[in-house]
Amino acid sequence: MGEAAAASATPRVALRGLRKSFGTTEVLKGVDLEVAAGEVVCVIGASGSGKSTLLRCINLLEEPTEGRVEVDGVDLTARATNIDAIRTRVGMVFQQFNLFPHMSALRNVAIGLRKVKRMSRAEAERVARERLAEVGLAEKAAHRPAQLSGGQQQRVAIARALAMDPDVMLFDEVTSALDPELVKGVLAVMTDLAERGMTMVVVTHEMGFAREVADRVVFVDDGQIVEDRPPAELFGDPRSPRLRAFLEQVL
Amino acid sequence: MEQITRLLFDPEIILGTLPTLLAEGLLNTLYLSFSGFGLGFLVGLVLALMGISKRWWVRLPAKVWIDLFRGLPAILVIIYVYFGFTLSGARIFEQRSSYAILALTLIASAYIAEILRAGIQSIDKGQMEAARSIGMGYLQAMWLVIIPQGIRRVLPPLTNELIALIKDSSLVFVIGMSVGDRELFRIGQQIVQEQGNLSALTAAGIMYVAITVPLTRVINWMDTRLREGKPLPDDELPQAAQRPTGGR
Repeated sequence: MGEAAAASATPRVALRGLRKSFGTTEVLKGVDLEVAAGEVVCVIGASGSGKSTLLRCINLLEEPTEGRVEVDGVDLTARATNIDAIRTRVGMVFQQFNLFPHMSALRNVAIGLRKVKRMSRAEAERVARERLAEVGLAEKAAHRPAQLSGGQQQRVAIARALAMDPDVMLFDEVTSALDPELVKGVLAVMTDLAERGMTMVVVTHEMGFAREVADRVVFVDDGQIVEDRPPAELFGDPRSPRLRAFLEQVL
Repeated sequence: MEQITRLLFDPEIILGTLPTLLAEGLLNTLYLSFSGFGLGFLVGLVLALMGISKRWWVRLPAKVWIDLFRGLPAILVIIYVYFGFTLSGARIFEQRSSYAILALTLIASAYIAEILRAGIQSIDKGQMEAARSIGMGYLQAMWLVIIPQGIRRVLPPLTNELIALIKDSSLVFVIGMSVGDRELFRIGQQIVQEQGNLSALTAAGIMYVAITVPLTRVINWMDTRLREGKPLPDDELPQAAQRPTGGR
């Protein structure tokens, strides 16, 4: 601990020999992945390939059957690890938004600050308003989720995750439930976030976003990482037949 | 026919009974049933949370408790609690009404636990995941995110349970409350014994209806308000909440 050199070499997120089974079905069959601080990694693959499960293992929403999940070198699967504390440093945004419907947009963003970070109400709401402004929704603070469009809800959800000041952000197909015309606004917020140096792991079907924003693109098939390369290479020169077949279908 | 009418619905006796019912019985009935419901709600919430635990040894005692107090007739629970404690010398309370409230709490907790469990389990699991992902602990997420939504969904069956308990509070007459502490039914019953006419119980019955009907209306109004939220321009609730039913 405390050695600067060692710390900078430690990946922000590392999955090592990760396996996950649901009952007798093995969804992840040994995944190794490192994400450095400030890196944006997009995870692509067909539905059912295991890419969402992979992402959900990073903050232990799914408990791995085997292998390790490390955030800044801390093994999350170790019994001694305080998972709640780690989760405040790993933000997550979901396909279905999962905003709290009984709270205003402002309270959705402020609640973690107040109840987890123990900020005063005034301080929490000040930060929450800043985050809402960053995603372009300052004027919607008093609205309930049901009174917002899908795109607005998803941006509130991003603000909620960002409010905790995380070191990593996980995005789980965050535009898949949105009407096409609302996708752009959400992707713009994510692009902005990437440009400001946030470490991001993004499970997505948006190949354009992966190509433009990602430092690396990871192709997952049948519970394994098949290719892990910079986007220009991966899209320009897919090596494996499985990736070629996948790209033919989505592009 | 006329005789039956006089025996059950004698207007003079009914009117003569109402002042005592209003002055003494009404407050005591409300006191017993609302205390039982309030405490039963707290116990029921704990039981509901125990009931959805992953650990069998946490679920088991809740299950036994619920089966027991939901399975036994209310009057028997009241008898067990009052006579069990007093005859065994364990006089844990001074007042008879406290034993009555304890018994009503036990009964209410069993029903409320099942209602709340259904409400909690009806909330999308994404809500728990979202709450956990910003660092909330399990119980914190339950308390701040899941339970408030779950309760809103089960307000109608909770209302049913409150009404059932108001009526069940009539059964504490078996404890034999003394003057001043008598609830509606007990007052009616004593007047029936004095006069040899059942109309005093009809008067008590009128009082029960007079409590439960307005109560239902008020809660239904609250329920509608809560579901529709504050009216804002483009207010549309996407998912028509599925509402588990329950109660008796």
